[in-house]
Amino acid sequence: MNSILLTVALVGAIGLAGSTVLVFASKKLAVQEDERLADVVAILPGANCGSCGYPGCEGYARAMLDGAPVNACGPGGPDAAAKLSAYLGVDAGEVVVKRAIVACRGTADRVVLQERAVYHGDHSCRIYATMGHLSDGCTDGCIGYGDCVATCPYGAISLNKNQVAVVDPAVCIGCGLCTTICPRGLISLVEKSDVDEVSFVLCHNTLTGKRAKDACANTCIGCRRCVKVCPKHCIEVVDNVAHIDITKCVGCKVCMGVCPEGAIYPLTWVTR
Amino acid sequence: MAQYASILFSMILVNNFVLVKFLGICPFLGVSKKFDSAVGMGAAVTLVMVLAIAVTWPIQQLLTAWGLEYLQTIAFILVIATLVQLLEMFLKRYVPTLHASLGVFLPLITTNCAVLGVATLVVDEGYTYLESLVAGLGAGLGFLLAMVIFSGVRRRVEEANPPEVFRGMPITLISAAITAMSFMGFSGVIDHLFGA
Repeated sequence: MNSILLTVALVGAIGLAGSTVLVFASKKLAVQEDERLADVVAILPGANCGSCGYPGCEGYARAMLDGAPVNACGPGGPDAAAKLSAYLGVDAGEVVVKRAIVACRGTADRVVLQERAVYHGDHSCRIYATMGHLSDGCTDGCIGYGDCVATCPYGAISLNKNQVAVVDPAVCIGCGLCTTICPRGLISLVEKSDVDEVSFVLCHNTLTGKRAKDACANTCIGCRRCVKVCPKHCIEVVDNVAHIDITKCVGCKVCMGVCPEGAIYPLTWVTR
Repeated sequence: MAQYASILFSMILVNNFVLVKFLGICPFLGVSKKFDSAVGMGAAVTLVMVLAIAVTWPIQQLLTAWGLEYLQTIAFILVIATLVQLLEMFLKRYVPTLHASLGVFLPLITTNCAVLGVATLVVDEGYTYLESLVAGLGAGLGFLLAMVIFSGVRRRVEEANPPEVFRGMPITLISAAITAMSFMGFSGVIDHLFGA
């Protein structure tokens, strides 16, 4: 009995002495936090996605108190920017609408899927891409194991019936997490320009002619027809793939009409 | 005087807590990316080690006198946790940049086995109060030395542009192992220097 009391008393005494020191220290060494910080954090959506370029919502809130622009929050959109500008008394500025897009349309019978059938490793695009395959197929297209699907915190990406990842523009908030996941670098963030709809090449296939068509039916073969017809001269072919400068594209869709392979697709944004 | 020097240098080089005893690996890998934060972390751990021993050594005498040696771990952890909290408040108030760069590793010193390790080690070795303080200082300086050396190693490794599969943690662990191996070369040096 005596030793139990002694034990409790001793540990209690150490704890009491320590906490007393800490209580005094916390009073003496207290740091003045900006009381607006909690309010600003409350306005932000709290997704901690990092699309603003700061570490988490609290990091962005601190930066805003130091004068960072209030329009960088992707998930919050114009709503959050308006509330923040009202609270902090600064100009909201224009919110850039961004979305991710997977630059591959694939087909259900593309060669990558046939090669995938004899692969017995883990079902992950990133692991599959590290294997040294000798491939007859497109080595730039969607592998279709859906690493990006698992990464998206908002569930905006899904695999379509052709086993190709597709971003739902109505759900995507443009945080950019998926862009770093894809081992083929197919996913990019695109910023909305003045027009609501532009043309976009949904292909990264660098193979040419027949090889490209054998690998996947929905491929850009680098024929340059779109380059010739574009009234704004905003298309160029690099490594046998057409690239459209969407900041100059006016959405006239002439290129879509002439593409023999149907590789060019309209790209739309959904403004919330 | 010779025995203090012997304890100090053997703690820094021969019994280096990180590279020879493999204690406190977590901050060693976590905070060694940048030289400044590595030095900050090393200094913080050194301070906590010396302060912890200054408090835990008398407590240990009390525990031994009352036959309560089994309370050693919980009593020491309590003391170390208090000291780390105190240190965190102090850094937040006076060195906010260091506080930010140390991040979560600062409160993690609480459960850093190197700190608890040195506190129990000096008891096991039967050091006097002064010897224990010197041992704590040596262990802390050894930790600091390891952090500083390794932050340099990591910078050079990063600049050397390793193959993609090794980039990041894998090459860090490999270089940590090689750095640790180099410290094995110190074993026996102190015995010959001080004839202990």
